[in-house]
Amino acid sequence: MFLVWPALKGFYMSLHNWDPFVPSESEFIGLDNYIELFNDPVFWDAMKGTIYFVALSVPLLVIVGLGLALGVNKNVKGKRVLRAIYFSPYILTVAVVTLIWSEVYSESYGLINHYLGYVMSDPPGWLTSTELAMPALAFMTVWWLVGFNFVIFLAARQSVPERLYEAARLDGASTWRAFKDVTLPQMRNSILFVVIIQFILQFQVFAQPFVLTTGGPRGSTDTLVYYLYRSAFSQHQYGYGAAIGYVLVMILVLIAIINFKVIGTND
Amino acid sequence: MTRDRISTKSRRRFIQSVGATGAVSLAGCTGGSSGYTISFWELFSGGEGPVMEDIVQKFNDEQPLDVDEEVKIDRQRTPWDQYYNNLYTTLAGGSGPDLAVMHAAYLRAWDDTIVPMDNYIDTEEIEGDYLDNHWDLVSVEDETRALPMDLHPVGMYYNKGIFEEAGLDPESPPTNWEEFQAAGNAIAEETDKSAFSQTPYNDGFGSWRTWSTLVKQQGGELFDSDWNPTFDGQAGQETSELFWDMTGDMEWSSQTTEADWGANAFENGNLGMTMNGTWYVATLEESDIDWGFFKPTIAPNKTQDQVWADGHTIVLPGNQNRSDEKSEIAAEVAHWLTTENPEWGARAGHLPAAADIRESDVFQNASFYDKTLSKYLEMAEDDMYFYHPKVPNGDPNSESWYQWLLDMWGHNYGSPQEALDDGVSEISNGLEE
Repeated sequence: MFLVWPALKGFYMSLHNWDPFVPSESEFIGLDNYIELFNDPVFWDAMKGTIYFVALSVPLLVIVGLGLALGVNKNVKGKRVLRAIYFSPYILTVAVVTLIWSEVYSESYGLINHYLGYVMSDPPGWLTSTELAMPALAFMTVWWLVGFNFVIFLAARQSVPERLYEAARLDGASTWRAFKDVTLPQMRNSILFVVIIQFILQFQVFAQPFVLTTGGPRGSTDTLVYYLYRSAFSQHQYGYGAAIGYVLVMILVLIAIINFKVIGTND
Repeated sequence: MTRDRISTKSRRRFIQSVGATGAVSLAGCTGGSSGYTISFWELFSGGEGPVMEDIVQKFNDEQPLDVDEEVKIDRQRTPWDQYYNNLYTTLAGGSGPDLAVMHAAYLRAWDDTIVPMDNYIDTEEIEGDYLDNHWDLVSVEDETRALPMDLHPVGMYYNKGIFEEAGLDPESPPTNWEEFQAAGNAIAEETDKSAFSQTPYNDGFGSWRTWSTLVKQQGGELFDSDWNPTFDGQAGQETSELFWDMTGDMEWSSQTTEADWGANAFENGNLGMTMNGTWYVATLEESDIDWGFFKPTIAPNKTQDQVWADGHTIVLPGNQNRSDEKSEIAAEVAHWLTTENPEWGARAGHLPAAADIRESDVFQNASFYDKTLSKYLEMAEDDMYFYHPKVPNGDPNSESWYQWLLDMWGHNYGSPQEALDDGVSEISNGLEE
């Protein structure tokens, strides 16, 4: 009831020029919203922005998460403290995260430019440059969310039987060889799980551009869900917003299918 | 004020509804013999928020309405950038509040969502309580859709210390383009501060207030009678080039789109002049800077004195579950809120809509009366204000409508004309919804 009904209603809305006040009088327009969407340059810019954000954030979320997990799995000093530190940003809400990073990224008074000011006369505007804004949002997102992946990877690494590493050592395998032939295959399912989850989550990026850049400068941080929000809740085009939502769902289903196929062929 | 102001039209309907549904409708959803709780949504932040909070508190303490029941206001504040989205969504769900603050610019596009005020209060009788230009603000197609609360035009705020440092007389601020240009250049050349920011918030909508003011002063028109954008005429082009040059060749400001850049710079004493609305006074009163104010009639090649303004109004959002009696009480509350509270001017800095307030001691003894209020009043008397367009469709306060102005200021386009073309296209699309 809480999933199927709204999903069906959303699809129904996407086929109408939706009137929120008298829904029964909404005009049926078939696939017009979808056709309009495919001819809408803002939609394509938002799509490009989303893909760019996913391409920047997902690999880093996986690689950094894995690196941190393997790092503290070793007998390093203070590893318990490190585990807590790596995980801690994940428990913050997006509002707190954006507040912290607005202080870090600010062009005129931010932490980064404060220190850069000692070595360069005109430090860049991290959130106000069309080239840097999206990478800045992606970096912030990695800092915020990598703790979740870290915990998954740490659990997966700890469940790899030590005897496999002993066997590898006896065979004279280098650290790299042990990583490639023991760690990676043993952790494959966890890695794929994280990759799928992160694809799905990062494709839905919304709060970072909404709060920090309002999609700017010049649309460089616009994303699909932010455009959906603007269409539905700011411009009151609910049918159009629902159509964007459905295209997004189809993309996510496609990504999930591709990823499951990868798991299937390897198992 | 008395219940006599309840219109005969609504009285008739009220009696009919009681006749039809009996005592059940009298009880309403929160009404009945125990009293009424009027839910009231507003969006005031910064210095205005506490003033509205005090006004509501005063109402709840004093019970000023001449009615038998106890009436309580239940105030709910939503930040301005989410307010209208929330309000619209709630109204679409059919469960809107009893009263809501709404900018006059929305009164045409949102007419489906609100109940005209004259359904529930005798507007002919209370019209005289308000100043004429405010009353015009809430009238759309000869219908009184709301009660006016204030006008909040823009003006120019400046830092007297920076004027002095630049060799300017801090007590003689600019009155025309030549003087404004000389002041800006002096600050840029003689100090290490920035000369001017188009809006302290560095946002699109704030940029529009300043930009459209300068366009109108140069004889430009913003829309034609069919609501087609016409702001890209010669005045629009010249104003765009001026914006471009201010962060370019003139070096009056950083070429940045950073949110709140101007607010941080001005309030930290690093910015000479900025253009903003009446409400800014509440923030500046709490800062340490020695600030002054002048009329923003400083466009180059000025042909007329025109200054952007909009106003807060109070509306009765549509709600099928609200009894007519409760709507009548809500209308009385709106009348009280808009006519009995000089603090809204004296502390929040706006020009209150009620005629009596202008003459009241509280208003005229405001600490910043001479500095800002009296000058805003002179502009009102000289009929200088033009209103933010009450568009038929779309969201006239939408940031996405004016983002091009911010990107123009930050030189994120190849030329000011490219930005202007984008603006026409964005606003045309927004109006076609």
